[in-house]
Amino acid sequence: MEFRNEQPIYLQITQKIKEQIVNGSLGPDEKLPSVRECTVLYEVSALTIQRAMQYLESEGVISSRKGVGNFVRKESLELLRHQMVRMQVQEFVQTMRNCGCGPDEILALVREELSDQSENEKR
Amino acid sequence: MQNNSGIQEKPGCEEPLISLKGVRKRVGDRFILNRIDLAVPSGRILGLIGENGVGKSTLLRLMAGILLPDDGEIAGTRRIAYAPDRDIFYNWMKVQDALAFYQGYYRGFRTKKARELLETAGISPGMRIRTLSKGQRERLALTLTLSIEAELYLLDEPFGGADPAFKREARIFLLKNLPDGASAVIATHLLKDLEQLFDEVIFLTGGSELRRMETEELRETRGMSVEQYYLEVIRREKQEEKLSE
Repeated sequence: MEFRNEQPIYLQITQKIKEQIVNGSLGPDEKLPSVRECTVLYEVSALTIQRAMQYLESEGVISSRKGVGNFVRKESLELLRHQMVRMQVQEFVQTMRNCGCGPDEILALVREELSDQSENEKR
Repeated sequence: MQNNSGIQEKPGCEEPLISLKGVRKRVGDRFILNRIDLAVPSGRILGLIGENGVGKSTLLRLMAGILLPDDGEIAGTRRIAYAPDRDIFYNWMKVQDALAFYQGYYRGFRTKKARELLETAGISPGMRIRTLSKGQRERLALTLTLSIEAELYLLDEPFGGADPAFKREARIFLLKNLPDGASAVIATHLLKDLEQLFDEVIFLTGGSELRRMETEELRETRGMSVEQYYLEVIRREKQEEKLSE
C-alpha cells in the first residue's frame, strides 16, 4: 500500500481502518488482523502498526485483549459518526469565519437555513 | 539516550542490540568514519541513508564484525546476518550450493524456510546462478540472509538493481520474514521506495556526521517526507561547503 510520505503513516492507517468500520467492512466486535498481518497488508513496520493500534485504542475505536488481539468496539460506529459530524461542523464554522461572519451571524444563518429547509419539506 | 537530532528517544527502551561508541575507521589516508556513536534498539527498521562513498558500507561492515575499528568500541549481539551490496554468488554455483554454504556456515539456518521462499519466487535448487536474472539474484541473497536466525539484519543496498515491482515485493518479503523483536539496518541511497518501511533514519553525510530521527516524528513535526528532508540536508550542506571555500 502506498502512503503520502509527508504525513504520519500511522495516522493514515487509522483513517483507513476507520473508513472500513464506517463502510461496514469491519463489523462491531470483529477482530482486526494481527500486527504481523497488518505489516504485510500496509507494508509498514510493526512499530508503525502498533502506534496506529494504540491511537485507535486511545480514541475508543478498538479495544485490545491481551494475547488475543484487537477488536472493533461496539460503540465505535456511533463514535466515528460523531467524530465526522464534529469535523464537518468545525470546517463549516471555519469557512464562515474566513468569510467574516461572527458567531451570532453564523447561528442566525443556520437557523434561517434550517427553517427554510423545513418549509420546503412541508410543501 | 540522546541522538544527534536532539529528539529524545522514547523512555523505557531496553538494552540496545548493538552499540558503537566513538568508532573511527580510516580508509586510505582519511577517516571515512569519525567518532561515530550509534545504538540500535530491538524491533526496529532503520534506514542508513547517504550518498555513495560516504561510508555506509563501511559502517555496516564494522557492525557485522567484518572490519575492526581503528578506535572506539562496538558491543552487543553477535547474532547478525549481513548481506553485502555486491553479488556474493559464483556463476558456476547452483542455487542448492549457495543453500548448502549458508546451512554449513550459519548455525540454526532455516533451510526449509529458505527452500519454500525460493520456490514461491520461482527459483529452484537445481538452477545455475548464471541463469538467474538480477532481480532473482537479489531475491536469493535476501532470502538466504533472512533465513539466518539472527537478532540484527544488516542489508547493504538490498534492492539496488531491481525493478519497481520487485522492490515492492521485496518490501513485503522483508516485513513477512523479519523475526519478532529483530532489527534491520538497511543502507540505501534510494529513499523513495523504502521510506515507509523505516522507523528511524540515520543520515550519514560528509564529515561522517550522523543525523538520526524518527520518521513519523519528522512527518508529524515538519510535514515533510524523509526524502524531502534528506534533500534539504544535502542542499544545506553543499551551501555550507561553498561558503567555507
